[in-house]
Amino acid sequence: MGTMRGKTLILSLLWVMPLMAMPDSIAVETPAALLAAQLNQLETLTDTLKVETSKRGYLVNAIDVLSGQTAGVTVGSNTNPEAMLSSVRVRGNHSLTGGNEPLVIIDGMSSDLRTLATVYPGDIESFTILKDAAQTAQYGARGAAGVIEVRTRRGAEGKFSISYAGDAGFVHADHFLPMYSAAEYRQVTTDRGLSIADLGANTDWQRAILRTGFVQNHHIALGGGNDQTNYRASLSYSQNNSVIREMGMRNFTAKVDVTQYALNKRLQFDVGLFGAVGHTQSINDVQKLFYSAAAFNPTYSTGRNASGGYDGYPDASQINNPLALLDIQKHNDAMHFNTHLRLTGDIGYGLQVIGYGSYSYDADEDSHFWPTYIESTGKIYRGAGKAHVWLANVQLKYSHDWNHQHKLEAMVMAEMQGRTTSGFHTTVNRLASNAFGYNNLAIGALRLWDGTGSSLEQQRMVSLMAQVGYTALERYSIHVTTRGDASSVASANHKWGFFPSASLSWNMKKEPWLRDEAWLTRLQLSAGYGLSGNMGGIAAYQSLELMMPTGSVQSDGLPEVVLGLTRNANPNLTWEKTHTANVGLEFGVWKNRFVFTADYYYSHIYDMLYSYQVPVPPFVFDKMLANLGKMENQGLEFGFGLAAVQTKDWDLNIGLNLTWQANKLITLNGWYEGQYLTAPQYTPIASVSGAGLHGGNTDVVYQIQGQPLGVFYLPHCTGLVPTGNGDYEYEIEDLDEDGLIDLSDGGDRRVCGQATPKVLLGSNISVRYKQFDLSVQLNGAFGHKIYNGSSLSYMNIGSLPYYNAMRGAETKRINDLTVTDYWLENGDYLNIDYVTLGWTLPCKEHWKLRTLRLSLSVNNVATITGYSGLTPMINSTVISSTMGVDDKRSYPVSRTYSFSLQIQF
Amino acid sequence: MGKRYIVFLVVGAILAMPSCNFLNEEPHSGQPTEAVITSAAALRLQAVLSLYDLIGSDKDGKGLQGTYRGIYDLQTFASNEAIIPVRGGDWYDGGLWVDLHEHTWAADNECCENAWMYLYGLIGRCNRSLALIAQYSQLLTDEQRTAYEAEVRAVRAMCYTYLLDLFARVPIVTSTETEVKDIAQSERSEVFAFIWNELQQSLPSLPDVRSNSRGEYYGRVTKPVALFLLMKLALNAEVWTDDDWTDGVRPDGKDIQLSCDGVSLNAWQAVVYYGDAILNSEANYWLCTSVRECFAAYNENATENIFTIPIDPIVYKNRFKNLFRSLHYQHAAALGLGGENGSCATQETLDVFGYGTNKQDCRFNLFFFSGMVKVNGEPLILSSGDTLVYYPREVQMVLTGSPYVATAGARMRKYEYDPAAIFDGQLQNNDIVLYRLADVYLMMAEAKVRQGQSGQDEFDGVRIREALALGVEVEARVATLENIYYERWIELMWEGWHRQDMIRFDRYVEDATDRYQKVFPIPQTAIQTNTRLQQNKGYE
Repeated sequence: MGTMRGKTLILSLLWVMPLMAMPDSIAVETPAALLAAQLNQLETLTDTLKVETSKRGYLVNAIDVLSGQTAGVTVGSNTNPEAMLSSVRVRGNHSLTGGNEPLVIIDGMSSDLRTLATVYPGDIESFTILKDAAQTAQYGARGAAGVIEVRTRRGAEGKFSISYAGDAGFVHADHFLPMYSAAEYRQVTTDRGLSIADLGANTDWQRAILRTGFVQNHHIALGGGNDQTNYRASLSYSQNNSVIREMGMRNFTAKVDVTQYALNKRLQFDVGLFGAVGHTQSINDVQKLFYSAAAFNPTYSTGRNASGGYDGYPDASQINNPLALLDIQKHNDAMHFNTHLRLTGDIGYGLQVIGYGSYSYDADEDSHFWPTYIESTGKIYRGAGKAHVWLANVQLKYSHDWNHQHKLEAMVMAEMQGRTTSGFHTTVNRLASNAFGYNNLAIGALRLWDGTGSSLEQQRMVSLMAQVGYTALERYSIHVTTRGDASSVASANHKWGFFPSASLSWNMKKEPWLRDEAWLTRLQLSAGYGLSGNMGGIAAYQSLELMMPTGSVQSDGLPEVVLGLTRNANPNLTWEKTHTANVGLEFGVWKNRFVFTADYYYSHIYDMLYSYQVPVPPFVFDKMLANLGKMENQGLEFGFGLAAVQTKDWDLNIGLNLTWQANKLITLNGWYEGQYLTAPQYTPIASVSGAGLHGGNTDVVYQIQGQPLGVFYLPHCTGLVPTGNGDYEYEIEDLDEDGLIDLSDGGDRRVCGQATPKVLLGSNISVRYKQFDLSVQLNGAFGHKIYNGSSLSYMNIGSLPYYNAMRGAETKRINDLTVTDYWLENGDYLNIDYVTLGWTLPCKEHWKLRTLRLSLSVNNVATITGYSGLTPMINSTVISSTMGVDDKRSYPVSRTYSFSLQIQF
Repeated sequence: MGKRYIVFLVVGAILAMPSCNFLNEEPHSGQPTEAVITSAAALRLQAVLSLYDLIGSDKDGKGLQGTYRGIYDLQTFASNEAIIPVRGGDWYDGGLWVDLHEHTWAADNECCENAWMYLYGLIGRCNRSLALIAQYSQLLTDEQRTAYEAEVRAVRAMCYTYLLDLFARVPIVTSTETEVKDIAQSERSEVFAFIWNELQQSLPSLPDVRSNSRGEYYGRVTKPVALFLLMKLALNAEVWTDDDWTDGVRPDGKDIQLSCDGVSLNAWQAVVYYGDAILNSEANYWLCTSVRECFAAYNENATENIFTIPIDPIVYKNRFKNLFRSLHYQHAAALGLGGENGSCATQETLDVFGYGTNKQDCRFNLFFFSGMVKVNGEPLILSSGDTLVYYPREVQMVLTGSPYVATAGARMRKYEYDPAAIFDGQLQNNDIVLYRLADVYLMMAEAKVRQGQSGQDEFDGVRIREALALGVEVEARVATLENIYYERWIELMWEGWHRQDMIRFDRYVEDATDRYQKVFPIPQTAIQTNTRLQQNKGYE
């Protein structure tokens, strides 16, 4: 049924069209059947992405599927490659204070990206991306940053089926920074008259920390059913041993879904269970490891020393022996369990009642171990966290269709959600031995007061919603939603927010004057407006003045814990609000062999939740979470799909999506309790760090009022000038022409580019010849810049002899660490995400074997870029201390080569 | 019938769902004040003792001393006592240390920002403590209330003293109810008067007991601590009551009348008056035989120390965190510490100590490592194969490219390096010394000389103490103002007093146009977030 949705991403359909068997689909759909199914859904207006994992390269996880597939969705890489966690942004950043992660709904269950990452991609049938306010209205505040609806595969009526899908491959790193080899290091330091610690070895530390990575995934699913009951169950195991030694993850999942009909199918029960258990071994400090691997003295050997540790090089205090760093253990064990029950009852008169309940439980355990040769006397940290989330909702739906002339849909819904998170942690120091790892806390002699703690936090939400949709003559439709959301996190008098939205659509193809144009398959215009609220990413109790343990003092000779406030409480905390307006066009010709979609959106965010800088005095703390600022986002999204060739033996499909997006931080000033608060004009977001780069004027990416979030604000370097002793330094322009060079904020600095790409591109090209198919995915980002902080450090010849430098440093002879725009580079790139070559056995009707497919894939094939650093694929979207700055933390560039097999009976 | 029943049930459920209590927040791991303050003991702990968790710190830029990029760095590296040279790839740090040494800091200087935030943060907590004491006064006896209020007000006055010194024209905030629009700067003399008055009022209710030794008042502001602050205020009164520090004229200490326990004394008389009060205190202070005792690993019993930041890993969070950043990496490692190979003595400091001359002060080797250093009798071999030798005279602001890039400069050794230190030396047993008796004597000597009396006894007591302990000869010096200035430089090296002394002795800036540098700029974020604040002269 057509509810208030966005538009279908027909492109995905085209990519799906050269349909081989889906990896374990129970009902294998023929291309024609699928096409028809999709066309029938064209009334619904959303970006639905059919998942056809068989066509993809090696998938690290389910989130990976989204990369480059649909306009307006950005999948960041490298957030935590070991845990395979990627950041996802739907239409950019909506908020300054978290609440930027899209809501993930798995089979109607509230979830998050982290859980989605544990779902085996082959278990997913489709992704639906809801982007604007009218579309996300159904989820209210929870969907403020966009919604990714995930539909998992389920049983279907029909005969029993079982399938296996698996892949295995290796990962090879082949692109490194051109640091001096040991011989070159000796030569350059000798030429400069520097004495070095030469231990005689020739070590390439960037390679010393690597291994050949190994990946494998296995997935078994079985299902079946009859007209009363159907079920599907699956088990999966994934392993990813990263190219970095010791690092990697493994994940095991189990999933069961059952549907039961009763009372002549007037009552439907859906029950689902999902569980995942994973183990991750991550790099403790990514920047420190890769900085060390690049800059550590190459004359040291890779062997352990007599005491079982690794030799350090104390003169290079900011780095360490890279192999010693690999001995730091940072392990995480995560358990996730969720279950849901949906009861759908048809009570006649066009009325349907739906009751839904879900419960999920997450448990996390972090186990960290620092050996004595890394962290003075050694340290162990153990921490555990738990989250219980429950949700219940009741919906009453009505729909009636009067001879296709008038169609009315109405719905009322009430929902409650509760979340309880708790955790505890403890730290011990001064270990008696390294042999115990983190397995026995009693090995530590010291347990300091601030090393131990625990917490419990509860959040609750209530929502009420009413929605009416009316469609006339199958062409004109209007949907109006009003909803009230209340959050316990908001302050006492500001719990409730009221958020209306409306959308209009006009299906022009159904107009009499176009109905008979055979070449035109589809033409639709739509527009929407909505107000939504956001409270995501906000911790509980921010509006309350609470005393927390802050330290310990002695009182009459005995230790006593003292309590204090730890933040400025805001008794007026309320919803962040966003007005969004959007218009869209969909166009398809020749039975949708060519489709084109265009969307424009504008959103205005106000009462923006942000941890504002507040004046001290009178405030005690310099930050306060409040609703003050304003921000705007706009974007233009295009999709093209072309089924260029469709013959018995040949298919050629080309899909392309293009997103232009712009963001502007309008202001961070505003009224708070009758006081006008002003924010600093310049707030640093990201800086460079490393030896000689601690604080001072080392900030690079800023948040500046009147500018996009994340702009480069830097002194301008007009060139290199001699320092007088044969070396060179950056010549800095006196931008404000006051006769002085002032590198501080507000001084001789200027805005010179943004960190976030202005244009994003995703393209998929697939070719089929008989049973062979080839698929290529291209992703690109343009219009942004990257600060090459790695080169700032590594091209500084003055870093020698304690820190190794990069080839070319001896000819440029830059002896300067001043942060200027000299190392600001264009970040444009085009990445060949994967190439997959597959072969499908043409199975006959009467065979027991229903599907057999073999494929070979290469992931991260190549990147075309003018960027001089290791890779332009850094964090360019998430507002964090790494945004826009390539600062000695990029992983060596690696490719994954994998083989996969899918088989179904 | 059945269908209707279901409809009613659903609608009823929808309407009944949002009950008000469901949305109320019930905190668990934090608690409202009323749940915590239930007794006089709890009030004492949370309103009074909790402030001492904040005198020291384990966080950068916080605490009166003990961590870096805060008050200590402003007092030390903006003076000519010590320097952190740029050492190749180390210590450029965006020009931070160059700015401090060369007085080219701007309003966004990180140390200034940190010092402001820290001091006003602590003042805010003091104001809250006073509000709590008032709110829960029914839990207290009158005596308790007076004592607690006096102590909190003295802590607050101490914070204002640092603000007065660093930023001069600062807003006086004494209540938690003050709004942004009511925040206005006071003239420097007004801030001075406010602090003086606060301490005068607190003084009678503060116990006359030791603060530096273990016991009930360990680490707390007791009467001798407040007396010391009053001495500092009086000693610097010429500077701190001067509302225009750029015009080259300042009030004469003899003309500044201060009310001392109800008696009006001039500034110098006040210094001596409160110096005598400390010497006559029941807490019973006397100079240690050797200055080393003040900075020993176990210095809680040093008879000379007046106010310290207790360091004890079991009780306090306070740490010695990157305070001095002085020793070469390998030297520190050999001592079981974390080294940063940064700060060292300036050329001027070497001159004052008579380094390398036959008149080298016997305290030089107590306060500095220089030349070849040995740990456990063994010289240290650097990774380059060379022996570690510190070259004091090779120090200069930028050492990059120098063969002495890592080894130039005499290094800090004032605090005993505690073999039982943990966390790379961040947790040593040495308490951080803030105020001590040698300073009291030198202040008294100075005040006496400034009013035409002899301060020779007080001066000599400090000056010859170490020579006596070591049994070496010491050159006799007359307690002139200049000699007192140099003696303070030597004796109080690394203790964060030299900037104040340089300003008081008018040696901080050379050119009249640089006089504005005697106070630091009001931090940029403070002005941006409160546009009513007026930037200090010279930084507009």
